[in-house]
Amino acid sequence: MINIIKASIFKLFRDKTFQITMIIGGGMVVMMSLLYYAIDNLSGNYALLVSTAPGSNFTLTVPINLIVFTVGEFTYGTIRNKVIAGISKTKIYLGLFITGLLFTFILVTAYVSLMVAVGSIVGGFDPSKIGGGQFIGLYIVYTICTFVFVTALSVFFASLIRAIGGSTPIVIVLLVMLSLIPLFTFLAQFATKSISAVNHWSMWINPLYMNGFYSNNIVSLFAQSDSKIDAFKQSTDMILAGILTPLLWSAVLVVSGLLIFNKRDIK
Amino acid sequence: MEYIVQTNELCKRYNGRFAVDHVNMNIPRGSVYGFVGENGSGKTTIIRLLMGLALPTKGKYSLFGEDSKSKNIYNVRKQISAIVEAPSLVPSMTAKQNIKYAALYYGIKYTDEMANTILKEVGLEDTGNKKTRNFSLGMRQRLGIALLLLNKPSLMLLDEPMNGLDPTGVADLRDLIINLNKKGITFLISSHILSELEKVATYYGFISHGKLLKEISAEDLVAECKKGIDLRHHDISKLEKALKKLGYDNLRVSPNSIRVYDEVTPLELLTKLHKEGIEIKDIRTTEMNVEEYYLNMIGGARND
Repeated sequence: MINIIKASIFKLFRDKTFQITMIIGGGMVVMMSLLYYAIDNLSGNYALLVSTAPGSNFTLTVPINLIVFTVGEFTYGTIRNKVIAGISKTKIYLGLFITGLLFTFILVTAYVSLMVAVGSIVGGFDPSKIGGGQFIGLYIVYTICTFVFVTALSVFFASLIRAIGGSTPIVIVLLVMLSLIPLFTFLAQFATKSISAVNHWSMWINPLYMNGFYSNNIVSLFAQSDSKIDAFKQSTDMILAGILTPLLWSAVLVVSGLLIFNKRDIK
Repeated sequence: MEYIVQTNELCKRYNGRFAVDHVNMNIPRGSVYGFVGENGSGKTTIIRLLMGLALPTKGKYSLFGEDSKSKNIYNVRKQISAIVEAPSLVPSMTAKQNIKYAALYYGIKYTDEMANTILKEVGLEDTGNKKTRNFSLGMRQRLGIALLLLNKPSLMLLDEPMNGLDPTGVADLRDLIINLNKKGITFLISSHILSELEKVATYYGFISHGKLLKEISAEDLVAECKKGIDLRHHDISKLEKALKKLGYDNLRVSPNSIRVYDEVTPLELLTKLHKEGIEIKDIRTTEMNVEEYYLNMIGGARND
């Protein structure tokens, strides 16, 4: 397994598409930090929150990159070479997923750090305005779980459809939809108290609920005031849902992807 | 004879049609197995099945005595290298980077010296730092073979390895195959260039429409490629009827001539045809090569 991962990382960093999208993503990050500051006076602390929403900004380059990388494994025939080399299909699929995870976290860390850095340079950084260390810690955990899901989803569809044009729109539409659902349920909760049950179930079903909830809703509600974000209390249920829902969905996608990959022929 | 690859009623069906139809194939250890068949006859599908790229619809196979359904089959495949359809290379990487990439997933320690040796062996010594997207088809084919040599295989499956190679490349590849075979590597080579295959194959498998028609050693094939008699006549259908009436069934009919493979001398044939009222203006004896043998065989199979 370690050999496959080493080989995949070696290939990844020599992939022109990867290099180009990294640069484009980096450029978008800088532009967006400056744009947020110009429009909403968002500083580094808020940049930290908005930069990790998987379905709403530049982080969409992460699943696109993952799809390009995974589909490339099929189109260049490198998956075929690995099967021929006597590596089991299970190891190959898990290798794709683990490489995808490494790749995702390298990219997300780079993008988020850059956005926070640019945001902090232009607007300063005050962690107390976003709930302090505990909130940030929890938010990082949610983000990690969310991107595990994004990786599982991207690798699943890329290896299922094996075409960039086919899998990219599906993954992007799904991620945008899943990110937007918390916004609607949260706003609806203000209008009618009866929606809270829907909201409750949504956080146990939607793998992007907590990430979307914070980055889309709380930031937009509190960003322009000095209120602390942890004014909105997180129940144990919410914390558990924020961690478990994306991880469980990821497990379902990885297992389903493995089963399908093992049963299908490789061209 | 020890067989390192054996298939048992191996089948692969696509959209209700058998691409591989109950094939029982045996590849002897140490042989160069020439796999002969027309386009779409099932050669590539069989190679894909053996390498685990496709799953059999029915039947099974064994590699080095290990059953295809055994968990150890992945380890056994580590002794095998294959090029299926075309070499799989990463175009954005150089030749050496492609070798390093393959070495990494094979778990082999990469050294520049190793890459240079392998590249030299396939005649690509000056192209190590060139991106493979700029390679010609022949160069890609050679690099594909270089990658196969990395894990020091005992069996190499080559699907149309001579495609895209110039005459020098074909000759070099032939020499490479002969040399590696002498070192104990068994080969399965599917090729359309039967004249080249004849120069290296020690064993043959003939396949058509997914069915393995025959397996035969090169020596036995030579014996079976008996002489035929070519007859030219202005009315081929009349000549064919006359020959069949005389009991000659082993025929290959072309638009301008008929080749008779039955045991008969030219004089005897001419005399008998004369009695049937057929005057032959052009008669010559010929000997079959592998291509003619195959065409004759599939002609017979199609008539059946």
